[in-house]
Amino acid sequence: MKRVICPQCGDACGAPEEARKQLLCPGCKAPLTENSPPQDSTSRVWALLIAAAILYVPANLLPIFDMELVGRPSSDTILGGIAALFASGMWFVGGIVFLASIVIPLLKILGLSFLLISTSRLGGVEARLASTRLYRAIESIGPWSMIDVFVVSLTISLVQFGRLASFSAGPGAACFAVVVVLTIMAARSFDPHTLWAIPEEKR
Amino acid sequence: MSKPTGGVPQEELPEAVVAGRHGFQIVWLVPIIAALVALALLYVTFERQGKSIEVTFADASGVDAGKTTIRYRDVVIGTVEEVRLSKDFSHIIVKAQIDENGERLLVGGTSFWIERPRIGPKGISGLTTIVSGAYIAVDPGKLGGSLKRNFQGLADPPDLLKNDKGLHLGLTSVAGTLGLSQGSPLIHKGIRVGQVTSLKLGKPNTGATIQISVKPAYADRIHSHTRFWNSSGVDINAGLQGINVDIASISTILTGAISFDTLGEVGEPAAPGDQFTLFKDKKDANHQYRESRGLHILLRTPRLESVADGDSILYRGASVGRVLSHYLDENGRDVLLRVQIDSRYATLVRENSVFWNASGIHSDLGFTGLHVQVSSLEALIKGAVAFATPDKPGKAAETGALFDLANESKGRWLKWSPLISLPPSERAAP
Repeated sequence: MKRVICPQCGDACGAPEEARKQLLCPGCKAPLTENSPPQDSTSRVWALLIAAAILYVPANLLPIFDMELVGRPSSDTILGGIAALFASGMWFVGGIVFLASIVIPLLKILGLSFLLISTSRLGGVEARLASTRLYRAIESIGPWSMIDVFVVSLTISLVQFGRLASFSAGPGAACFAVVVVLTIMAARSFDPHTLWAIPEEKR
Repeated sequence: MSKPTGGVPQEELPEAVVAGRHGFQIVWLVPIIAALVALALLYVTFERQGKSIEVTFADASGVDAGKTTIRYRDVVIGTVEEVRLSKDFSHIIVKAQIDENGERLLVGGTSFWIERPRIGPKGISGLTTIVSGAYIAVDPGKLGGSLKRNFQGLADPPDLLKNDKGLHLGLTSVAGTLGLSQGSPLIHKGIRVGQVTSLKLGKPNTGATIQISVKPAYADRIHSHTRFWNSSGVDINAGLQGINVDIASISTILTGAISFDTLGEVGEPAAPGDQFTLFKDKKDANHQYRESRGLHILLRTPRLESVADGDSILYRGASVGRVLSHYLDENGRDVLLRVQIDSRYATLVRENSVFWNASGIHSDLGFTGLHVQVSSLEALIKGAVAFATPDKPGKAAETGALFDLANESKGRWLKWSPLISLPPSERAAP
């Protein structure tokens, strides 16, 4: 038996040494993370990441806004909007939007996937430290992707001039918002403990 | 295996509970739902985008990729995606997406044309296109046929919408289109009974060909002897009797209009595709009609003096006919006047009737004094021809009879007073 402290109620309990299963605190039934198998949080993160990756496709293919300017309807996708910004010479704004809405979500999805795949194969302390830094970067950068969603939602509330000009969010905007939320959730669900769960033989 | 931990003996520690193993973790529902939502969204979006078609046009002024819409009966059924030149640069190709609700219109025989703002008969139509630009209009062919992808666009709106069930007639106008435009109304007794569907130049020297469509309910008003005239704009008749301004309606000043009427015998009912003449105005139309009736005779005079075409023929000072035209005879020695006597008064002209020029002032200075003879002020200015029939009238003159036109009347002519009974006047109220 190994002694485990429940992270929730602080009670101590004994855990069977050989258990590779999820253990619950006998008092408050909270999962005992210290002893939880790494697959648990990993599968959670995987699920959220896959969902985000799936929704990333419609978020980029579908229009994020539908605009009607003096009777002319127009709609554009994220990439189309960025292209329009670049075409009109607004390189700085275009670059920011490109970073926030294309690069960052993609980096988050790829970075978290990398972390998940690499945990089990991590070697020395140096590599683990690098992975931890990557994780922290991903977690802190997450909310910045919402910049696009904010732009669209602000414009919707501001640009409402009836027949002259109207603006509404397209299905792409909803998908994009969900992608950002899912990646934030995935980053939060990722347990950095797994980066330091060094197997006995490598210690 | 036992190791003392803290103060609590190992045996007293409660054992951790093994969680029931879930075969399936709830969190995996998230990607499944995400996949379903993404698939549904993509399917709906791309299905709604409908079919892509290509229409070739000679020019594409006002057509913008991504902005110009395709409309049927003013309902948007698609959007232009791309405008490009053909490989040999001879025309342009418009690529468009048609919504699913417009897909069934894409059959053989469907025509496309570019609708631009214009002042139409129902006011100014397409005002929105001034700000929003032109749009591409569709006139579908027979529905239910096999679907097509490539179409040849029309340069102008088609003659008539194919689903228009009216009676279609052609009008030829030597004077041109007379301010008419596509959609100008066809008016009969003040009621709109149809419209102009197209204007075209006919064969050389035949003027313009105007296609009209008459509403089915009024098609039976048109017969082979119906006369059409242009009732556009303002008709001003200034004469000695005053000025007569005739305005059909303010809107027809802008849009032009065609009126018609059937005088006299009606003839056969009109069949689709029949050709008619479009007269310049109502007077012209009725004039031609009146000219075709009555008695036609010829007057011969050595010299045409102040008598012009259209001058009245006076009988006892009353107008009973008119001079239609004049021409030189084959020898070039005499002038011949073609004269028409209204049918009611035809019997006044007898073989022994005499004609004289009643224009101007004739003075006769003699031993008995000065005689100044003026028939009427109008005759003085416009010119007129008068005639008289002796007290013993001869046989009725026949069409084509030839009379001499005297320069002035002889006193006794004016005293003749034959008794000739006329048919009852059409105008006399019973």
